[in-house]
Amino acid sequence: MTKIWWIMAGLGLGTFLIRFSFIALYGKIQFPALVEKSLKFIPAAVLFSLITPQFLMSNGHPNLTLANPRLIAGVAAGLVSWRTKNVALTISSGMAVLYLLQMILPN
Amino acid sequence: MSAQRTELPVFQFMAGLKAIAPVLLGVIPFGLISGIAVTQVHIEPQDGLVMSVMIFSGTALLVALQLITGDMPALVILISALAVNLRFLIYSASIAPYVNRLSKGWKVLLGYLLSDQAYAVSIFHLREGASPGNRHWHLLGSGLGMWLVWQISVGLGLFLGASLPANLSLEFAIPLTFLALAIPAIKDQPTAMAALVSGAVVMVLARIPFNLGMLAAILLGIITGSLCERHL
Repeated sequence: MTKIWWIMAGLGLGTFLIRFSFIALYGKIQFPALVEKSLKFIPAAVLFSLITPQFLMSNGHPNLTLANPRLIAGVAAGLVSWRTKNVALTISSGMAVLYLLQMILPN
Repeated sequence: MSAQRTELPVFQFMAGLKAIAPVLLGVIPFGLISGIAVTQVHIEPQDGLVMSVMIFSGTALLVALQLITGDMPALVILISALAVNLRFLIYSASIAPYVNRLSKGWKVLLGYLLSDQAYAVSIFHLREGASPGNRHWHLLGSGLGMWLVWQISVGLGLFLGASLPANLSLEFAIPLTFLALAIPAIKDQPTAMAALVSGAVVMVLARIPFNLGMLAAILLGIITGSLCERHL
């Protein structure tokens, strides 16, 4: 159990230092203008790197077929998001499609 | 409402809360799952809550818990779980310009509260201001909203864990939440290219350990966006 505490404390401190890193360093290090301009692509790049495997992979392998319920649910939710820009609607429509497919398709 | 009034701290704070509120719907299942996962490793619920507050990161917590059951050396577990959070380096760099003039206390607080969701929700707002002004209050609103709902959800998972129904695919709500934030994030063609490259590269590099493939995907996505912007 002490091992676990050490890990969690280390995780807590380490994660905070990562979060705090550039906030603390910003004024003290001069970043080139190119870097500053690139910052605006961060949200999209990060978000799509986070979600793509979640929708396009099954059991650790790429699955871009219609047999992938998450892909279908994701496309549906994506369309809802594109049209409505509504977060709650996007989430609920995606879950609804997933549940529907899970009921229809054999496991 | 006049432009000056909306820039007041309290309005910025409320705007931040309002902005993150719909996102929290997807966070609750994630918190529940994380809380349940903690109890499954025989950590006491109250200890789990302390840990959750210390770390404030669901993915790192889940990775650590998975590795703990595998009985690896503590340092290896620590590094692996931290690697998953390296993306926060990028968030940190991204918001740094907007919090630069604030006090140390503000910086520490906003840094601690930095999460995927609060970042995704507040970054555009931070950018749109003519000057940072009071917009850090928006980040405080979204950050605190996220923190509160997260800790409560984890707490529910910790203390109610056993009695919750299994197999509701609740974890799918998490990528759906990110999808709901990702699509509106594409505002122009260079950004669309950044997203496309990032998504493609992360798939290609999926087998690389420590989530380094994700870091590479993010960096290549950012570079692609920059190049497209200069040449389109």
